Amino acid sequence: MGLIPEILSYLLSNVIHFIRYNARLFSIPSNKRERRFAIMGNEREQFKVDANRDDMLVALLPEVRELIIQKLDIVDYYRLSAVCKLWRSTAIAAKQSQCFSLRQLQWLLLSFNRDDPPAGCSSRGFQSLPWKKFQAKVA
Amino acid sequence: MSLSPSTSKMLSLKSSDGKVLEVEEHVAVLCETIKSLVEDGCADSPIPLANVDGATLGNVMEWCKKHADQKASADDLEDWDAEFVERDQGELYHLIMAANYLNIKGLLDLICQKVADMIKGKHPEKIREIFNIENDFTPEQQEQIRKDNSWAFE
Repeated sequence: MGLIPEILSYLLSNVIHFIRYNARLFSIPSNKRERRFAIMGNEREQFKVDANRDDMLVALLPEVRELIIQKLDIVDYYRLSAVCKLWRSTAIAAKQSQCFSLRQLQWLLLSFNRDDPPAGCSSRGFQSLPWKKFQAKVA
Repeated sequence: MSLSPSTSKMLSLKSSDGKVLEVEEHVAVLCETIKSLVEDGCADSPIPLANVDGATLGNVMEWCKKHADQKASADDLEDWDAEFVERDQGELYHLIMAANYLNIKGLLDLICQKVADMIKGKHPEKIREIFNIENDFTPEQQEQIRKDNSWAFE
């Protein structure tokens, strides 16, 4: 029944995540020389560029992997996290750092089945727009 | 020809493979990284972009040019973007890395959305196949993962 506090904490974590993500736009050093170094200083960290990158999903940077995860709904989230250990750890980390985006939240909000009696039922209908109806056990 | 303000000057960008690209300033500043340099007056010499190869830089600047065009309508941009992301995985990968390095949020978002769309609606086996990913779970781990959220795998 703790759905409302859960939704509130999701919302709060999204706000925090937004601020944290965008903070890097404002965190460039103010000193000119420092700034140039901050931008140009990582020239040596040149990444390997292959002509045909057919393993792109495992070659991406962690922050980019997290961005992609945020664009998935909850069904695709669980499917992607069953692909390999790397994506499983990314998915779990994204969830633990509370970066679950509004996409997942909307999915939950939309999911309420009005025909279900609110009490005394062990399962509830979930509806994800591009997907057929799923039944998930509510703990 | 150009719809840009006549005051827009040219910037030289040098890619990792030594190619120099001349780009109008109002286009290049869509990259936050380059914008910071311009604001500091550090953008006189060719700007070395050690993490972006010439071909990718060309693609990135093509996107920036389109998105800097004041006359482009939202619908127009949407159609154009949809066509822009129709690329093979190698190109998408380089575009993501470049957009991240150059700090172009719009482009990074666009390509990440494209990759997410490639993942959507597919079972783990199919995702592995498309992206050439090795399954490094043991059969027991895999069984457990499927059991934990069986509804997602139906």
